[in-house]
Amino acid sequence: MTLALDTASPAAAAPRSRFWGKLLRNRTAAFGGGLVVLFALAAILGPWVLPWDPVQTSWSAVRKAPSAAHWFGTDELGRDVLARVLSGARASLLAGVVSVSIAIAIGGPLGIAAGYFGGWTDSIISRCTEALLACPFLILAIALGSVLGASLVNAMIAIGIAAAPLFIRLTRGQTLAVKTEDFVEGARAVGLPHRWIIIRYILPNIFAPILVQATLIVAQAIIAEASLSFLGLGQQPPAPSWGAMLNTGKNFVQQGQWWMSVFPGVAIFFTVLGFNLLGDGLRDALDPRES
Amino acid sequence: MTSGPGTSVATPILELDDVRKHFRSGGGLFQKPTIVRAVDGVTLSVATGETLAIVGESGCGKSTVGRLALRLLEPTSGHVRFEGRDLGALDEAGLRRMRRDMQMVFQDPFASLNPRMTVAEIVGEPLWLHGMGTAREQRETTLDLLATVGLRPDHAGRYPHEFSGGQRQRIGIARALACKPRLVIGDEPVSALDVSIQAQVINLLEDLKERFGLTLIVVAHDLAVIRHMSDRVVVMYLGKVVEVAPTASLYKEPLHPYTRALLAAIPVPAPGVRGERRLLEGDIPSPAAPPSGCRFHTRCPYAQARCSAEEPALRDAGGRQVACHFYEDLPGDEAARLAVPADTSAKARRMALYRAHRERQDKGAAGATPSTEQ
Repeated sequence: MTLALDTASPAAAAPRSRFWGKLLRNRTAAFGGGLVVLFALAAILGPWVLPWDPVQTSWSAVRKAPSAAHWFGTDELGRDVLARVLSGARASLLAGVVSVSIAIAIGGPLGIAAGYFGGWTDSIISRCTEALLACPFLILAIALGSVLGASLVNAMIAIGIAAAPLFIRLTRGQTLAVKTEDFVEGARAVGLPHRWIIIRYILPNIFAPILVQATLIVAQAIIAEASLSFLGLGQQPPAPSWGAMLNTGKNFVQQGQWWMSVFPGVAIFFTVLGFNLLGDGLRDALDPRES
Repeated sequence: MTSGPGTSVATPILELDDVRKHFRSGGGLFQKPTIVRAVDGVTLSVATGETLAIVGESGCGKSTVGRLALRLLEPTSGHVRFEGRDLGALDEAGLRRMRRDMQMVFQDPFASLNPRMTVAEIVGEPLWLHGMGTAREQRETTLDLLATVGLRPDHAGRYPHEFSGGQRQRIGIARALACKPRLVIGDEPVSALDVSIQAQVINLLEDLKERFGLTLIVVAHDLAVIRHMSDRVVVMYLGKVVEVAPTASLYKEPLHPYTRALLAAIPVPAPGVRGERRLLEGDIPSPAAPPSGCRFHTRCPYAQARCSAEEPALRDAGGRQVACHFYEDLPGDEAARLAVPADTSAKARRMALYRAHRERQDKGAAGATPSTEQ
């Protein structure tokens, strides 16, 4: 609103900086955020910094154990595992963030519509959501992925659609809760049209739980992308992906060549851990009842 | 303030005509839903400029009446007319324009303000919505409104959680006044506040009513609060109006047994009256299955056979209305006259003891006056 801009800006900064203060003071959350930032940097900078090309094969260096030349060893085609883990971070993080964005783009509006308007809208949306939720998230993503065809983009779409019901349910529930607050009725009493009530009253008040849920689902989406790639439905060779690396790496574990699967596995573990800790921290920091 | 066309003292500003609101709850594929008769045939007329109070226990439908009057809820049947115009006949846009003239102050100041908006945004929003003036004028009006309800201009940029309950209720009142309404409905506007703050907010509402020429409808469950501010009182029980009377005569001589019980429930700050109070027993029956006949007969100390068989109509009783078959024949009411109990010898004795005690306590403290009686 233009009206309050001149006075609102200094005061508006206050709750925001309180939020950051709270988030950073929470050590686990800061650690989680740090992990996420670290992997994001690795995904962006890794390929430029490392001397190894992640898809460059070498017949002279097949399945070499970690050494000074190859810190994480090499895989069955002689590619540097460190370079592949770092550039695989790009696929994983993209898959996590993009698919969750898709899920929110689908689930958010549907959930708000179901919660806000109720009645038939709610019945139809909720029944469809329940039908989708009846399938486990990963199974649904795999089914959709195989229908759409094997590629990273299709995997992201499949994961996004599979995760959308989680957001529909969350936004619907949150909208229902906020809708019964007096201030929404007050907005109606003033004469605000529905679109303004949704934009100014519902959205800002359901934003925090959605953000928290998003970070937690990003973690799940990363696992889902790894699973799809593991099954050959995600990132296609030769482009690296943690899931696909695990898939090939598993064939050599029994021969004691652990580095091909352990390093991408550790990367998945820490990224997911980072997003989960960050999500927990966000939840606490955004909750005004926690001081 | 702005008196619209067709407004005169004679025409009621708001009329409710046999308004009913039934909520359906539960019910599935093979189950019959429960119908809760929150408001069951309420007819009311509010004169321009008066303060009307609607009182009753929790769950009697008084808040629902307030919301029906603003068409925040759709009535199941019946009509609501604002300055002669049927609200039910208005379309979305017409209703929105109409909302400028009728506003609401909510019960819970902690829930009725959007926590994500600044005070200036909250108070200025109706102005912005209805396009009243330029941005600069809106800003000035907002600051004026804040001053009117006793808030400082530097409060404008803050968020609701930075304020106390009383201050928030003032913000709510400023917002309600922003688009210069002619009718303001307060839904228990002070019941969530501390007693010391209640008086402030009540006084503020009264001042504003004078200043802006408002018509006030105050919904409350507390007769003590109502007494000081209302001209007329409507008493509701289980979705029905049981008595309508000018405030003074209602307090002097409540006609309906339920009104008597409500008045008797006001604590009297005097010793020795405890034994004489006769309070209602039992809970209010469920509005999903209201009792037959007179809805109050299950708890009425004077109930007779006819009460459970035949529903009493709201009858004229000399400038007031009451819905009771037997109000003329009821025994004289002792409860209403309890406000100043007669002095008894026991009380005089206790007061003397108390004074003696106080004098002993105050001995040495210069100028200390012994407590006054009452």
